[in-house]
Amino acid sequence: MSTNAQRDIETRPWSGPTRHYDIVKEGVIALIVVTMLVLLLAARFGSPDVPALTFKGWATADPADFVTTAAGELAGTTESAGYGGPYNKGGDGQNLGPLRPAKTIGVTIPVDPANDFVITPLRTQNQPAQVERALEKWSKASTGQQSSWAKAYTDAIADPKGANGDPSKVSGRGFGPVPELSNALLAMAQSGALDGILDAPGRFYSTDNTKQILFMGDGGYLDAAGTKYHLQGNQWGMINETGNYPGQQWLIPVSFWYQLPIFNSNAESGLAATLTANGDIVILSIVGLLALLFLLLPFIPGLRSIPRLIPIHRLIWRSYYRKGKR
Amino acid sequence: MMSHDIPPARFIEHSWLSISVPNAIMVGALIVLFILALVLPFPGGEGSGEQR
Amino acid sequence: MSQTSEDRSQTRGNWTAALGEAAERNLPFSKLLPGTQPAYVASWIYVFGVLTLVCLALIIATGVVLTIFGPSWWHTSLAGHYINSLHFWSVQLFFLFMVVHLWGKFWMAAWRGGRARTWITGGLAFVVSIIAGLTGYLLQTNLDSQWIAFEAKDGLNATGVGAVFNVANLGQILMFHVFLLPAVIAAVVLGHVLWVRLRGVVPPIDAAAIEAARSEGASR
Repeated sequence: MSTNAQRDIETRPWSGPTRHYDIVKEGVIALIVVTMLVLLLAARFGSPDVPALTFKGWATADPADFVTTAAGELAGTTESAGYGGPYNKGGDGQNLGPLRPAKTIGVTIPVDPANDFVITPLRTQNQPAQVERALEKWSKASTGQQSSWAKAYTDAIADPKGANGDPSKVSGRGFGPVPELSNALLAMAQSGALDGILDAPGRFYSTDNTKQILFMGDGGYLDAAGTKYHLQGNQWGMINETGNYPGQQWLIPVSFWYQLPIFNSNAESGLAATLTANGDIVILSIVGLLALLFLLLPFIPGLRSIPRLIPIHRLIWRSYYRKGKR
Repeated sequence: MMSHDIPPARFIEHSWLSISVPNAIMVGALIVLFILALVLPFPGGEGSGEQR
Repeated sequence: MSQTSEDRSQTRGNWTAALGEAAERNLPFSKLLPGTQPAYVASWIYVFGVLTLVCLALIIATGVVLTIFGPSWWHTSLAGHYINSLHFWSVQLFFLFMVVHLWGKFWMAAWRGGRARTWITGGLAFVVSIIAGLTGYLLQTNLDSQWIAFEAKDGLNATGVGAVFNVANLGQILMFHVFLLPAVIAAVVLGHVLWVRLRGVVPPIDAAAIEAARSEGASR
C-alpha cells in the first residue's frame, strides 16, 4: 500500500467503520472511580508533614555547628559567601564551556552573608554592653581585619589538635569581636528571635525566605535532616519524600544524571572534575536538550519511526487488524 | 498539632540504584497499568456496535 | 445550513462572522461531542487521557480549597491535612496516568496525519506540570520545602533561571503555583483536547491497507 493512501487516511476525517463510544459517560465514570480512589488513598495513607526546621531548633540541638556557621559567615568562608550570582560576587558560579550564566546575569537577589545573617539581625535588638562593644569594634574595622579575625576563629574551631569543632573549647587570642558576635547570635537564635527576622529586619511584610534558606543550608543541621530522609542529591534525593511516601518520581529523568559517577567524582582535574564542578549546568543542559527532542519527536527522523519498528501498536489495535484480515 | 517527626522510608539499594519502597511501588504501578492497558480486552471491542 | 448570497455579501470582511463560520466548519458539535468513534478506538490505553483530565480536575478542586484557607492551614487543621492528602494523591495519580497516556501515544505514533501539535501540547502539559509540581512541593512550608528550595536553587542558579525564578521566595512561588502555572496548564490542555477533537483519533499504522482490503471484499 502506498504511503500516500496511508497519509490520506491519517489526515482526512475517518470514513471507515465506527463504534458507539460515549466520551461524556466515560468521563463521568472515570471521575467517580478516581475520586473514590483518591478519597481512599488520602484516608488510608494521608500525606507527610515533617515540620520546618527552625533556627531555634538548630541553635538548641547543635550550638557548636551554629556558632561555627555564624563565624564562617563573618569570615566569608561559607557556601553562601562564596556563591556568586544571583546572590553576590563571592564566586563565579558554574560554566558550560564559555557560558557563565550566573556570572553574566550578575546579582539580582542580593545576599551579603556577614551582614544579612549576623550583623543586621544582632542590631535589630538591644544587646548587652559587651555585644554592643563587639558590634562597634566590628563595624570600625577594615574588611581585611574583619576577615582575618573571623578566619583565625574558624581555623581555631576546626583545629583537630585543639577545639576540634567545639567553639567552647577554643583558647587563644586574635579573634577580635568574632566569638562575642557568634555567641550573641547563638543566644538570639536559641531564644527564637532569629526566626522571622532574617527575611525582613525592620520591615513589616515578608514574603521571601531566601536568606533563611541560605543561612540554614550553610550549616550541618539541614544537611543532617536531608541525609536522614535520603534527600541528598547523590541519593536520588530530588525524587524522594520525607517519611514513607512517594515523592516526585517524575523527576527521575533529571535525578538520574546526578547519580552517574562522572558527576560525583573526587578527581582533582580532567573531565570528571570539570563535570562534577559544573554538574548542575551540564545536567540541566542535557535534560533541556532531551526535553526538546521529546517535544519535537514527530519531526525527528529515526526516533519517530521507533513505534513502527517495535510493533506494540499491533497489540493496541489487535482487534482492528484481526477484523481487517477477515 | 498535625505534624510530628516521622520515620524515613525504607530503601531498596542495589549498587547505583537506590529507590524508596513507596517510589518503587508507584513506578511498579505505572508499568503494570501500562501492560494491563495493552493486554486486557476492552469491553465491546469485539464485534459489537460496529457500523458503517 | 446554507447561507443565502445576501447573507454572505453582508458578512464579507467581517472578522467575527469569519471566525464563527470557521469554528462551525472545523469543529461542529458533532465533532466536539460525537456519539461514535472509529472502530479502532477499542483499548484500555484510550482511557488514560480522560483519567489524566479527571485527576487535573481533582487537583484544581482540592487546590481551590487549599487556596481559600492559605498555605499554612493544613499544618494545624485535621480537615486541612485531609484536603492536602487529597491534593497529594490526585497529583501522584495525575502523573501516573499521564505517563501511561504518553507511552501509549508514543507507541501509536499518534503524531501522524498533522497531529504534531497535539503531541507537542501534550508534551508541554507534562513539562509544565513537572514545574507546577515542584512549586507545590515548595509551598508545603515544611522540612521537605526547605530542603527542595535549598537543593533546587543550585540547578536553577547555574543556568541563570534562578535570577528570575527564586525557589526560596515563598511569595513568588505561591503566585506561580496558584495562578501562573495552572493558567498555562489550562490553556495548553484546552488546546490539546480541542486538537484531538478537531483531527480525530489517529488511525492505526497501516490502516490504509486494511481499509483497501475491506472495500475490495465488500465490492466482491
